[in-house]
Amino acid sequence: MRDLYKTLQIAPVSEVAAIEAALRDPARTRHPDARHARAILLNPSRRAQYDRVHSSLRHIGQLRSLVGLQSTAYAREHERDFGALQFDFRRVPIATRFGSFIASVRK
Amino acid sequence: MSLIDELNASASRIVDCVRFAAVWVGHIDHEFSEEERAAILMRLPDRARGMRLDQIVDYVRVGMIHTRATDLAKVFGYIRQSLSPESREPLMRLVCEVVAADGRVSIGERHAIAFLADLISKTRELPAIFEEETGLPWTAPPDLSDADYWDRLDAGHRERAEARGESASGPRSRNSSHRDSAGGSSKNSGVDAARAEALATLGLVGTPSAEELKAAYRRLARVHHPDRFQNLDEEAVGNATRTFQRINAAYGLLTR
Repeated sequence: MRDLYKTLQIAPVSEVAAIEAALRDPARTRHPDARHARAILLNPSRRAQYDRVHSSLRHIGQLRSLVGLQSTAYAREHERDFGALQFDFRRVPIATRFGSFIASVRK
Repeated sequence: MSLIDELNASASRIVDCVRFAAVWVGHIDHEFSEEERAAILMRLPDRARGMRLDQIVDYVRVGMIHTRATDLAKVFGYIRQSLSPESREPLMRLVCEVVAADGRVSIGERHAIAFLADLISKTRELPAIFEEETGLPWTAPPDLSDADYWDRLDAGHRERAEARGESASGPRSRNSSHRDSAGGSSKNSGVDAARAEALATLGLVGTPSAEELKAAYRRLARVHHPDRFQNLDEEAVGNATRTFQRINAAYGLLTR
């Protein structure tokens, strides 16, 4: 599940006015998930149900990373925005990415 | 005394941790119901030397409201390390029974069970255990952050409402559901309200089939049967009796 509040860079308990303001901001609505945020967060009944699962998942994601469990298949598929320790492969420098490979070739 | 001190002092620490996990699962969507509580007490009743269930519930509630997950994480870490292999499947069965005790399994509860299964390396066994204990298929929870999911859901509701509108005009209008067209008389809406309440008591929605009704009734009756609470105090027996009567009345109304 996506974290739509993270997409809009607002707090999960924000008022409707704050969500509307964020959705008017072109810098934030450029995000591909902004469409989902508009369809769900501005609809009270959808938002209520989304918020319940959102808070449960935040809690579970926190526990996963505290216990050291964040990389199971289930978590990758269903809790993708909710692990506290998000590992982004693209941010790792190239030298580190292929470091072990290069070392093994050199042997 | 903190939760961790309390658990360290407990004579039956691992059992308390298991009950803790069960309470946590029941509490994940902030609705720890009487049915879920009864399901835990049936399997793992309060003991003289361990923690009382009410104490555990208080700790879980505080830990979740303030999202201070560190203490909770210590308990789960302990379960992961110290729970013996032969106790792992019973733990999964217990939590499956707890989440289904109130007749429905919410999305948050599904996520919570999946987390526990990952925690004690029972991911692969989870679907079979879940289906055995709850009688429901194990499906991954829907993605509520997907706008298309909601649009499909609304389209489905509209379609079903239209289908019902057509059948309500036929000869079987007595059986029409509570979401009736605007032309329903006040007497009819009173019947529908009673029906909707009975459905909610059994944890069902819409127009369940006879088998679904029976399965929901059996599941709840098993949990709430007053005979199961004879070793607890009178209040527990009284509560169970009232709930049991409510379930019976609801089932009677729906099968009449």
